[in-house]
This record gives sequence, structure tokens and C-alpha cells, in this order.
Amino acid sequence: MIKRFSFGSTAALAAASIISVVALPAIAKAGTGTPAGTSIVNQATSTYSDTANNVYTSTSNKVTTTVQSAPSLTIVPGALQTTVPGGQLTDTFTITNTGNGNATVTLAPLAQSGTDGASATVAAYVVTFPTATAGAVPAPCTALSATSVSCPTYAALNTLLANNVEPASAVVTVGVVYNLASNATAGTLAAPNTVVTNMTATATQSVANNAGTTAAATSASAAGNATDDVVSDARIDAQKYGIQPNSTANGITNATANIEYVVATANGGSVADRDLQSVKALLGSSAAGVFFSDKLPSFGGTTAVVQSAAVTTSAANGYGGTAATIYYSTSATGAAGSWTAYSGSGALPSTATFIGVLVSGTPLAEYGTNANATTAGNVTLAKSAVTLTFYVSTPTGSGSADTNTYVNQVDAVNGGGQPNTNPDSAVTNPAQNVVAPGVPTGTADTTTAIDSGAQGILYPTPTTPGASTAINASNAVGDSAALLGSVLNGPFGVPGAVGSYNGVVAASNNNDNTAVAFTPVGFTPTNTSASGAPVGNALGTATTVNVANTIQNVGNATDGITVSVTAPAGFGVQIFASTAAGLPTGAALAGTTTSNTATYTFAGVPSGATTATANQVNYVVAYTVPATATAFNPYDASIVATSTSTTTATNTTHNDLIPGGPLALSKSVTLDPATCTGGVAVPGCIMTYAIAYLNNAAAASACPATAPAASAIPSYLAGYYVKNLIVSENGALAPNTWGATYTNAAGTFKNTTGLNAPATDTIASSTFTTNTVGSYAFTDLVGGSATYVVAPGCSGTVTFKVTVNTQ
Amino acid sequence: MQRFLFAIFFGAFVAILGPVVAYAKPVVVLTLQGALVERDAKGAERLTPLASAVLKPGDLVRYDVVATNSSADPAAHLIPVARVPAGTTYEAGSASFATSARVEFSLDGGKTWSSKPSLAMKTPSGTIEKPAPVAAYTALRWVDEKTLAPNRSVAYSYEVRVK
Repeated sequence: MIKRFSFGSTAALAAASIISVVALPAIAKAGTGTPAGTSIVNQATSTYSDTANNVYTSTSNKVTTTVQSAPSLTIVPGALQTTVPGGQLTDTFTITNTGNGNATVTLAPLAQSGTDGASATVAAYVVTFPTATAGAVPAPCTALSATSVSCPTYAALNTLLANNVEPASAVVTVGVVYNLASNATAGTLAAPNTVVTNMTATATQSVANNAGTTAAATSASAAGNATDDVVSDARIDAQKYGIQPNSTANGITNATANIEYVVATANGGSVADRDLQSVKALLGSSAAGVFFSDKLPSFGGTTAVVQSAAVTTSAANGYGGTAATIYYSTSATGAAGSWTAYSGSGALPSTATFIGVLVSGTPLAEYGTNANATTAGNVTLAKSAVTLTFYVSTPTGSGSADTNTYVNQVDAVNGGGQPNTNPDSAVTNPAQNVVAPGVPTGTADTTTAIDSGAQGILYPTPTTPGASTAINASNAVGDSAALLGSVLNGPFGVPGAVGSYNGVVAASNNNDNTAVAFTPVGFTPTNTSASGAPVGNALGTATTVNVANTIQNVGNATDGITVSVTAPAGFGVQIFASTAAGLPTGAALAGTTTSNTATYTFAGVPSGATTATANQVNYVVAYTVPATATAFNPYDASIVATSTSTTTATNTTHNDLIPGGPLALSKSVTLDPATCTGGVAVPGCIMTYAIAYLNNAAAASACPATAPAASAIPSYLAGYYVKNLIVSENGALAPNTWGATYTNAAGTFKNTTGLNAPATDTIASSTFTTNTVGSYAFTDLVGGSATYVVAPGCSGTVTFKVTVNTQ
Repeated sequence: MQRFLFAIFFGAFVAILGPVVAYAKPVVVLTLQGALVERDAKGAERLTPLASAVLKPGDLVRYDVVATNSSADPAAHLIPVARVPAGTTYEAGSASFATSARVEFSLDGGKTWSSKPSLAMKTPSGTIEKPAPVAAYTALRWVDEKTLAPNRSVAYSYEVRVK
């Protein structure tokens, strides 16, 4: 779209009012040139005469040529402006199409230089066209009016400019809106820092936009530099250094076991600091002053204790006060009345919550003008006017060695002049304004203590270290305790369990175990021993048994934990991640079904848990139990967990697998010598049967007189405890024959006469069914309850007598 | 047709009056050429015919006017008139001419001529005459008292600058 444009010269109009030109032919507008595409036609004529003075005329040929595009432009920056750190400015550049045709403007990427150029960030470009904006406003630009558009990006701006063809002499303005970082340096009033904004552009006249021309043309680059001064009201720039125990950082060596903090401060403003009465009211000091303070960090509810503190000053860096005194507070908010001057030696009370420095003088202590170009959070020790050094105790407990356990910063309050948008007045106007983080600009100093929440010395400390977030606030530093790894490894959900996996070793959290009794489908555990230790039968087929375990990081930092499983020879071992229910999930993390060892490291296990289980990791060990494993025998596998950070920190748990379960039955018979002639069962022989039941799992102690309730048994040991044990006896059920029948000439008879008397159990509370004289079958509920437990190592015997039939 | 009728009438008139002197008509052919004038870094002039030049504002154009008497009769009082084309301004002092000629300029497209055109300007103290700026020139001419002999040519040139 070609846009109409008209212009006028104020100067020319003024002149015309005095001098009018008579018969002055039209003259093309200055600066625009003959429009591109204009044909310049020339033709000469001549008169002549003959000797008789007859006049003749001759006309030449026409010479025609076309004026081509000659694009050019000028960029004129706006006048010098002044801003402050944290301020926003708009530099307006006037771009004039000085070419001879319709042109589009293309801007080169904006460049900002000067002492504060790096602190400037362009927020928007505001373009104003001489006539209504052509075409759609490209995203993400927004129209401000019919002729004005704001674009947040340089690319969008150029898209917009490309859509708008401007005629010769048209004037477009581009306002560069930029923000200056709050921590930008300010310089002095005499030599302020600067932001120089360079705008460079070209103009292009296309054939399409300039009828009659034969080629597009682009002008040479034109450029304009807008310079802005940066000055600032008085302020206290502070940088904090945190040095870990027995280490060196930033050139500072801390040879103690405490954390060392160094706070370097200086006035980075363009004018001098002023003392505040509100600081005097806060501290209860005898003199007004400026103040910077450090809220002591805490961890796990315990505030760091200052072991010692000292302050130094440097006149060369602007210190002009008469005293720099350390104060501390025992109030959680540093409230007025809670501050005490430090004695100068020794530790602060453990109840101290703040430490700070009052800088005062007579009558007005000032740091004085400081041209060291410091900024909030950036005051090197070499530029520090007042330096506070103090040592604090390290944090303790879980998570205390994680990074940034202690995070804190320094906040300062000082007196400034008038609103710092006009720092010059700070020199001449006696008003004392409070300059502090979070305090609105221009807040007047009063005799009321400055302890408002979220302002000044209570400006919120970030949770992570980083650069300064406000004027008069330092950077935040993070420190922590020395690393000390520690781990627990135990049954699922109980990493700190204590036990004795075999009943022999002392109970400890290295000998705890998880007991798993299992009976594969189709396998009948059988004891081939008539008495004593059972001799179980082999499984015959390999089977897999999963056992869930839990590790826990009880060290003081996030750590890796390595688990190493060693199972009996012949076993296979695989490690899996665990579901919340203790089931394996995903592919095996380590191990195979044929190797009896496996190792896997769980990385990044947190410490300092915010919940009970946040520092725990469940895992499942899948054991491939070989076919040769026999019933009733516990197979013990050990799992060692090791801290990655502290390899001497280990903890062991055990997994004990018992094929067929721990309970073995053995049966024996005794013949009564008096009735069993010859020591054999003859008619009338009285036989005594004994059914012994034995929990073959290891016991840490003697069989308790009273078995614990099932509910009192930890789930990871339930596999060792037998409950609801029912002993069934049936004389007619093969291979038993004492209840079987036989037939002779006299008829059909039982092999025996049945129970001579009710059967008995050594567990007196046991209850029987059909346990009557003459009965050929009965059952015995051991202990008389389904919840009665036959503990590891415990046993009992059911006894009954029968007499061989005499029929 | 008018010229033809006039010739017949004139011939009849001569025949009635008696013997007449025959006046031959000189024929002057006028040619115009233009060239872009540029100078290299050393100041040497380089001319590019307008037909092949890319003309832009500020460029200097030289026009050559050549008058050739292509007849057998002399042409007297030859006065070539050249224009300052629209879109250009006369380049001061650029008009070249034969030594016998003088150059005059016009501010009104050839209605009036002057070697030193001036403008009347009204001021609070009255009307004054001021030399006209060359930018106001619209035409120029060469006034020569010499006769251009048959089969002879004379060349003139001037320069304009594209506005």
C-alpha cells in the first residue's frame, strides 16, 4: 500500500510570511529528489533565418530517460535522558525516508552499549506511522492506535515495517522501550554511567512500489545513537560470601569447622548515604545511622549460632562514618527492642536470630560518594567500605549436607534524598527518605522503627541462592554441613528393623531378615525323618520367589545407595524396582536367574525427608530357587547396602527362604512291652503313637511359654511363625492302618479298638474333635485357636494309644 | 495546405510584378544527446549515454545540442533553445558555446530571456530585484550573430542535475 504523505517546513512558512516570491517556478521538495519512475524529457529547438531574414524553426529529437530508485533514510535519536537502575526509558528514533520513492524500512538488530548497556533489556518497540498502519498487525505486536503499534520483539517489528510502505519524506518514529536492571551501576552525578542505544536501518525501494523503475534498490545503512545517563540515589550495595568449613572460596580461606560468612558493602549510588532515625528507633542506639543485617539461617528448626563476628571499614572505599557497630537480635522478626550491641568477642546467644552492622556518625555518617561501580549483590572485597565477617555453626541432621541447606542474604536500609528518579535533589533537599528492599521509593524517614514485614531487614530471603533481587539486598548464598553418608537396609517398609536371621547371631539392624515360606504348586513337603531335625524332600523344579526390601538414606545429604545381594550357591538373583505393594515392576535392574549375586545402585536417594518415606526406596529381589533345594530348610541371602558418598557406611539385611514352610511333622510309634509279646504288635498289644510338630526356623530365643499373637508378629517374619496349625489323624486313611478293617472267619473287624483314651497335646490349650475313646480319627487345633502361633524353634507332640484288636 | 496556397498566391504576385529574386531556404538540423556525467576517484570524467544510464537524483546530465546546416544556403541568426527538463535544475556555468555566442536564460519557459535573470521580491521595505537562482531557470538559449555556413555544424552543451 502506498501511503499519502504531506509535509511542510515551519521555517519555510515563516520566511514566506516576510518574503513572497514573484513568478518563482515550482521547485521540488528538498531532500526527496525527483520521484523514482519520473521521465525526464528534453527537446531542443532552434530558430534561424535566411539571407532575407526569413525565420525558420528547427526541432531536435527527444531525449527521454527515467529516474530510478535512490533510497536513503536518516535516523535521528532523541535527546539525552536520565534514568535510574531499575527504571524504564523510551528512546525515540525518528526515521525519515529521504529517498526519491516509496520505501520500506528494515532495522538491524538493536545494539545497546555504554557502561550499563549490558544491564538494559528491550521491552518493546513502539512504532508510529504518519498514516494508518497498513495491513494486519503481525503477532505478537499490538495496535496502540490507528497509527501506532507496539511490538515486543525485533523480528515482529521488522515484519510490521515490511508491511508498511512509506512515501518519500515520510517520517516514522520508533520508540525503543527498555528496562534497566535494578542492579545496574550508576556512576556519579559528575560522571554518570550510560546506556547507548544504536539503531541502524536501511530503506528499500522496490519496483512494485515505484512504477516506472526497472530495479529495486536498497540504501546504505543509516544509524543513530541515543545516549541515556544512569544515576542513582544513595544505596547500600552488598555482596555476601559463604565459605564452607575448612575450605577456600573467592579468595577467602576458612580454616574452621564452622561456616564463614563475609558481607562486603559499599554505597553504589551517585550521592552519599544519610543516616536514618528509624534505624536508631529500631536498634535503640544512641545515634542514627544506616544498617545492614543478616537473618541467621536455620535448618530443621534450629537457627545457626554465631560463633564470632568482626567488622572492618575502609575510608578509601567511601566509609565516612565514625562507628561501625555489630548488633544482634533475638526476635524472630528483628523487632524494635530486641537488638543488642555485640560485645566484640565470643559467640552470640543461641537465641540470636539476626546479626547486623550499624554505621553512624556525627552528625550524619555517610559512606560518601563511591565511584567503584558496585551493584546490589556485587561488591568485591576490594571495593568494600564496611565488611562484616562472622562464623556460624553448621546444620545437623538428615539433609543438612544437601546443597543450600542454609540460604540467606543481607538486607540494608539507608537514607536517601528525594525520589531517586531525580537524584540531583538528593544533594540539596534535606528530606531523609528510606532506601531499602521492598520499601516504596520516597518513603520518608521517621522516628518509628523500621521493622515492617517483607521490607527492609525482613525482605524475603529466597529459597535458593542467586543474584540480588532488589536494591539494598545482597545476593543469596547457600551453604550446608559436611557430607556424611549413612544408610539402612531392611525388610519391606522397615529399613531399620532389628533381628537375628538365624537365631544365633546377635539381634541388630545388620542381622534383621525377611522370612519367606513358600510351597510351589504340586510340591508336597515331606519329612523323611521320624524324629529330630527334619529331612525334607527336594523341590524337584526350580521356582522364583520375590522378596521386597527397603533401603533408607539416613545420612545428611542426598546420596546414592548400592545394594549387593549374595544368595546361596545355585540360586539366581535379580534386582527389580518395586511397586508400592512390594511387587517387582519393569525389567530387572541387575542380576540374572543363574548368578547368585547382583549389585545395583539407586541414585539420588534424598535425605532430610519431608515425609516419613521420602528418603526410602523399595526394591524387590527375585530369587531363582534351584530344584535341589529341600523343604523345611531356611536358605539365607544377605543384602549389603552401601552409601555412595561414604563407602564405609553400610547396612545389611537378610532374606531367608524356606521351601515348604518351616513346619515339619514326624511320627513315631512305641509298643507296650507288657502287651506286645516279642516286641511286635500282636492282638492286645497297646501301641502309643506320637506326632511331633516342629517349627524348624531359627529362633532368637527359647520358645516362648506363651506364643505371641499373630498380630504382634512383623509381616516380614510371618513366614517363620506357624499359626492355625491343625494336626489331623485318621487311622483308616492310607498309609495309616490302625483304623483299617480286616475279615476272618468270625467276621469283619477293625485293626485296633480305636483310641484307648482321648489323644493329648503337649500344648495344653489345644482342642480336639472326635477325640473320644474308640474313635478312629480326630483333629487337633494346636493351642486351641486359629491365631495361636507356633513360633520358630517351638514344637509340640500329639499322643494317642490304640490296642490291636483281638477278634 | 495554407503554405501551398500561399506559394501559389505568392508566385502569381511575383509574376504580375515582374522578375523576382529567388531566396533559397537554409535547412538546419538540430540533434540532441544526453549523457550521465560521472567522475572516478581520480576526478576523470566518464560519460554514459542516457539510453544505458541509471539515473538517480543528484546525478549530473550533460546535453549536447548540435546544429547542422544541411543545406547549400547559409543559416543566419541561429538561436538554439534548450530546456531545463522538469525534474532537473540547471547546473550553473555549465553552458558551453561558441565564442561568438552569448547565453541567455529564461525563468518562464522561454517567454522572456536574460543573461542574468532576476526576481522581484516583495519585502516589508518594498519590492526589490534579486538575481534568480539557477534552480529557477527553465530554459536557455545561445544567441549567435554568425552565420552557419552550409554543411557546417556548431555544437552547444549544458548540464542539468537531477533533483
